Amino acid sequence: MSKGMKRRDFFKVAATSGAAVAVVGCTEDPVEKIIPMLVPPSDYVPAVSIHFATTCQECAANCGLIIRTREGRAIKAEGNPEHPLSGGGICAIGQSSLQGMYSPSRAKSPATQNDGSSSLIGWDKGLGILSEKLEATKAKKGKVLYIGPARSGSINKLIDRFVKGLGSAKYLRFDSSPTNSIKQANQITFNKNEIPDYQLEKAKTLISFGADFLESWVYPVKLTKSYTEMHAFKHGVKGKYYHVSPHMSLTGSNADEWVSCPSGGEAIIALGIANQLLGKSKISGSEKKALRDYLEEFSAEQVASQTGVRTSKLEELAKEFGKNGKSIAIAGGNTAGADATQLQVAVNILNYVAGNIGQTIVFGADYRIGGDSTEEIVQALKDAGKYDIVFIENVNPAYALPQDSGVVEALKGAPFVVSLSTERDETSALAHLHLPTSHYFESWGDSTPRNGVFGLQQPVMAKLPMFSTKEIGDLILLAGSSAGLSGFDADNYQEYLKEQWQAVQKKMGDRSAFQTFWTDSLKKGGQYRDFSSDKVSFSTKALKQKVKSSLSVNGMTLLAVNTTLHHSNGAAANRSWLMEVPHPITQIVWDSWVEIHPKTAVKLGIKHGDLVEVKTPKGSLELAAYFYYGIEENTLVVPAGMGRSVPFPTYKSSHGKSIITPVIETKSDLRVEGFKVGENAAGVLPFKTDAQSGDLVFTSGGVSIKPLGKKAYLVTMDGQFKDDIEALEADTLGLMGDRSQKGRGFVQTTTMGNMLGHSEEKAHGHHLRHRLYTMDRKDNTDFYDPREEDVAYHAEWAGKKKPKYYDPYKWEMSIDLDRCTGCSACVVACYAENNIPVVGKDRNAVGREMSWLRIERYIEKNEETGTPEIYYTPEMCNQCGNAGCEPVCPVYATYHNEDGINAMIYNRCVGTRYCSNNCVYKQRKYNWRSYEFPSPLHLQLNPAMTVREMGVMEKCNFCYSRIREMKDIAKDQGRVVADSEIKTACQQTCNAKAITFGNIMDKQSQVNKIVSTTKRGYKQLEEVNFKPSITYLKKVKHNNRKA
Amino acid sequence: MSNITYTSINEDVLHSLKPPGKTWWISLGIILSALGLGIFAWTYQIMHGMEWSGINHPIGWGVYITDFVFWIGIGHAGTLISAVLFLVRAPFRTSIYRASEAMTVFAVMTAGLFPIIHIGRAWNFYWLLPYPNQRQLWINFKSPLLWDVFAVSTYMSVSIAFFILGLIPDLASVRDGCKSKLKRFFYSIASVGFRGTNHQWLHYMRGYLLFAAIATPLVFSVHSIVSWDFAMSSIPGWHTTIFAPYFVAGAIFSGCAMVLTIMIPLRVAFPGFKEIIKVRDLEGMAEMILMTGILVTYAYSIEFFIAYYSGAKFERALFWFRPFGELRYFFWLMVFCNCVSALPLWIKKIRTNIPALFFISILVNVGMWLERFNIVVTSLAHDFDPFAWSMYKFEWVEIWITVGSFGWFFMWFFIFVKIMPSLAVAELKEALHPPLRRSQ
Repeated sequence: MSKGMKRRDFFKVAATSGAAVAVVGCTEDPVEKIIPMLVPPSDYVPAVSIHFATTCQECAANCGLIIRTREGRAIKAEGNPEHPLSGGGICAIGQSSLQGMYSPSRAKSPATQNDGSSSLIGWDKGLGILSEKLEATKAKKGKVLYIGPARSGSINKLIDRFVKGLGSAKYLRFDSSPTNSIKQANQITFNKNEIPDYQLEKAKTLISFGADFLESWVYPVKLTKSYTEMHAFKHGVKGKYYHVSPHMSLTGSNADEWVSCPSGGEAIIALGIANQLLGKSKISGSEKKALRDYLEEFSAEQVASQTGVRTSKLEELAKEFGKNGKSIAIAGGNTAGADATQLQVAVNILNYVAGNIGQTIVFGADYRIGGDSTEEIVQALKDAGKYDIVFIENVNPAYALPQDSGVVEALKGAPFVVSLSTERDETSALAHLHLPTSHYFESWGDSTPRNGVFGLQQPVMAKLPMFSTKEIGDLILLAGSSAGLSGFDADNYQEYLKEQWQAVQKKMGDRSAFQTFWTDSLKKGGQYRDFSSDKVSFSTKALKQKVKSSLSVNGMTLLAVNTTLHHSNGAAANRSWLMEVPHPITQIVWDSWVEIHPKTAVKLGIKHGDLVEVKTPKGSLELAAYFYYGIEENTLVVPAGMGRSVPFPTYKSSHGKSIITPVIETKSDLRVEGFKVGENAAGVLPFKTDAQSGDLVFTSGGVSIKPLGKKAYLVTMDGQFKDDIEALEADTLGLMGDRSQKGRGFVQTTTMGNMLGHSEEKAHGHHLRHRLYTMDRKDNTDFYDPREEDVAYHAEWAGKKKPKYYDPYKWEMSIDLDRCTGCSACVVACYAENNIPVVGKDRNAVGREMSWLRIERYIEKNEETGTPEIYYTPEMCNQCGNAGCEPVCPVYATYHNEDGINAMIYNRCVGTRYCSNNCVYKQRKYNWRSYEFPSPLHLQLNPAMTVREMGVMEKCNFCYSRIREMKDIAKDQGRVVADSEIKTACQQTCNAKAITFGNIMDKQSQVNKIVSTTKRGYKQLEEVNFKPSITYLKKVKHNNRKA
Repeated sequence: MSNITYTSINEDVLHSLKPPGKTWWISLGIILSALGLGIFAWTYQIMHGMEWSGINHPIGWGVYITDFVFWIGIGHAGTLISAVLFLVRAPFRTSIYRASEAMTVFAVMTAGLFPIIHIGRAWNFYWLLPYPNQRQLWINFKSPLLWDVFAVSTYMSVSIAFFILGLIPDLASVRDGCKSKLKRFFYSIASVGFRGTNHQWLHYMRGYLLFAAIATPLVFSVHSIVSWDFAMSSIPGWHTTIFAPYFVAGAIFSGCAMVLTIMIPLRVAFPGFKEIIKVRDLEGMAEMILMTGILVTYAYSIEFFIAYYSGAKFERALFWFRPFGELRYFFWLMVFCNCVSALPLWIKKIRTNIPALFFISILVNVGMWLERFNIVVTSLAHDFDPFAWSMYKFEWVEIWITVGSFGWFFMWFFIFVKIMPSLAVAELKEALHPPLRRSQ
């Protein structure tokens, strides 16, 4: 950093204000190396992206990834289309995995730590200390404890051997997600300790008892896909989905109906439905009798009196669910509460009675989701003092477990704790020795998320030079051999992995040379085949489960829930993309909150946005109150997985703080420093586990909430205010405001009746749109000729052949709102692809967000049921054919290009912001400053996209860099780009396949087919006649309750 | 009128050109400090971006464009008074037109800065001009912003030329009264050899008439074009055909108010002016304010009526938002200042009461600033997409720059009154009965 003014800055000032006094100026851009390789390999071509298939380790679902690299750096994570679990897409957290690698809170090099002070040591010394300890342990026949992440694959075997070699029983895998209850319940009900394959796509009716399968429940990416298969309108068919839960999560908001029930009431309702269905079921004999006896007490009346779910609703659910094996009920997740296994058993009984087992729920897949019992791990950690060495690898129990569990204290009292974590996290801060492992994008590994899926994980780039790390496999091999154990003699983990994969080759029945098999596996990201399904039979043991048919209420209930952006394990909670992208329902950024029913809140004197204190029996949180009708009245919901206290890029801003006095900002507002975003909800829960499965309980009874008499600093990205024309009818309870679309038709709906031609639909749109002008025009809605004709006419007039518009390409998009779940993975993908800067909470608060793609969320009230209905619509630049932005730009910085894109020339832009004002979709974002990407996050920047400087406008361009890349390839081959060769980043990651992109001039293209054949298509704000290129497809509803 | 003579006019007007006193210097000091604030803030903005202004997404235009339209509006009265009223021979024009013309020139000079201040990359402002360049980049003539560039620069050059033309005979009389040789040298250059011969007067008067005729349409065109910055767009609250006449009326309204805001202190500062700038002249301005105020009020009500009558939901929602939304205080203050505060001028007593006039003129100035703020900000804050609605929050940089713009404007005006005759000597004399010998 140099003092004084730079030459360029001088001209900026001197050119415009000669009288200006040079007062400030100490902004020196860091020198950046464009190409990280001094001597690149000979086959390396600059500006050509190379893709590597690998495996995602963000959760145990281990989706397949394709990592796009440019100039030797990973710049974008995408789903591997060949992988059965991801099938091309990934979730928001998976998209953010790159920020995990380029994380500012990664540990730099091995360190020893003592009472909070740490000193960096090299690997030699670090390994020296470790082997000394290992030898000592071995010599005195001591014990070691190894806690690693929940994962599948060969590394587990290696670590098991390592741990067993040192005389300990087993290696524990930690994952706070409550999934063991599923396995346990399946053991009880079907004698099968596994997580089965939930084939939602085969079902006609889905009931989820609180399982947030679109967000975090077991394998959400795959479930999102199969859910949309089942639920999206296709060929006149659309499945039904009911969500039974105290909380309408993002998953619940996608349901056709959310059935509110008190926390803990789900099992009663499940058994109530089973009771209704039993009469019609195919089960016979003694089994039926046993079931009848068991279900007797769950009569509709009893269920209604306990849960408040009306008998008519229960009958409706039962009627819809009785589909002869074409229905599915799922349950679990963080809302499951203390009796998670009982709930699972109840749902198993329901599925069994409905005949779904073996139909929609198929055993034999054995998904390796989730870790070992939390109860067991906490017990082991509490006894940490008894172990000579405690290894903790890439898990964060000190953060993720309730403080009440006593894990932190136990670890502090342990004789020697070794952290093998990539990041410096809350747990590794307690370690005596920190040997940082490489990120999984820099390491070898594999995974077996279910039977028949063998995923390979290969390093996608060289290890980041600023971090001195070792791959976990190599490290274990080193540790094993230095402890003198046998079986650790492989040269490196890659060699070990190859050995293991020879077995995989045999399993796959592949007869080719191993090297061929290996290369093929690396290319495909692994080897995949179907699993063979297992037949299971019902065991009456299940009927011994005593599901209480009555609920005892004690204070309010707090649920700590996962969302698509926040997970209770907290691993992703320091990634700025996930903080910056608004939570789909609340639209809150950079904070946690407590959702509360407005009626309850008003009773307690709480207003929307107040700072409140949520008190659990074991602690309290200060949070902002968020009013939400999608919650049971006695329940509070706080997102889990926030409140990490690790180094973050701060993005602090004094902006918006002062009207009169100057607030000068310096570079220090963008430090990477330890600060907390939100609160850790799991931390204050009383530590409790499900008695049968040992799953951590994410709910707490006996909770109270009270206002603190202050407004919270709550930043939400939705702009709907209460003081507007439609607000007269809106619910102004407790200053909640009106979050509806105010009749503007951004999200339009239709009904099954309309789609099947049973009823007529009211015409949407503006009555002035199709008036007849007294002009002799072909198209009476427009004053102007179609652009391509207009351009052709003028080109001919000028004696030129070019430009030719919309020939051969005009890029268009269709977005199926019946498919979109609002999960926001596309938004994260957009940030990653397009170098969109993160701006932080303060600037988001004053309208400085830079996102090119936003999920607009509208909440409207169902007139009949009174429950909220939530609509999502992805909004990006519509690339209008008759755009508002183009004619108003005085310098042609934005113009219509031949492919129908509103192209943006950053270098030409002077920043009048007129285009943004005149955009009716409000899709243009302005660079209020030159944004910074704190090191090492800047290494993720996509070289194909310009990083914009302050003062210029930017917006979505349908990933034009991708279009350009593909067009160049096609041009070299002398052809036009084929359909689906180009996928925009948002489309690529969409698990629901809501987005279709392509060339509308190509009659065979998918987008053309959809746009020309759909009966559901509409353009947003069509009456403004901007001729947008995005066709939205209406959401289809089962009933006509609401339009 | 009897005690005003050619000599007394000369003396009174030229008295203002005497070396400045303490009050002048202190005032100038304050003005320059204000300007300093503005320069500091602008420098900061150029270095660090637009972050520290209240502009946001989606409100892309805020205080700067408000200031721009405000100053352009101020710049209307001068040409209106000097050209239009000259053509229609309005008698109250003579005593005030010079100062208001100076005001026009300085106001347009101020206004001209704001488009540059408000653009994100101010150092590239010249890209808005059509100039040949080897990159073959051209400008977009479809953009109303570009029309603005031409409208404002035309207006500025014509009003400066007109201003200088009107000054020639008066500068000649200053030259004749100068004692110092240096001053005499400069004033003789400025007065381009004007000696007052019949021949010169003949040409001069023709030329002046011609300029008045050229300037007159500009009075109406400039603000119409400025209004099209808004009216040509698609945003509810902007996209209105009434904008051109509405803006012109508003500009005259604010310009006349600014004339009063300046002339009244000028009368106090130079006691000799009191006899020349008569209450009747100020009353004439007040009548203009009253009339344009009513026009503006009419325009406001028509906007609301059309919003109701069109049935367009976006338009309706916006016109509900303005009076009842979060920015309602700005709206109601504007209504008070522009529609209500001028109404007492119906009463002759108030119309001729100098402190009351001054007070009302200030209110109207504030009101007109707010009007522009309302148009610019509320429309953007509440347009088509309810999800992207927003609020405006002022920030220090834009406030400092606004303060600085007043400093800039008054700096020029203060210099002007000390180096140029701030009343039109020749035309004042013209209005007198010629001092014929036989009348004595």
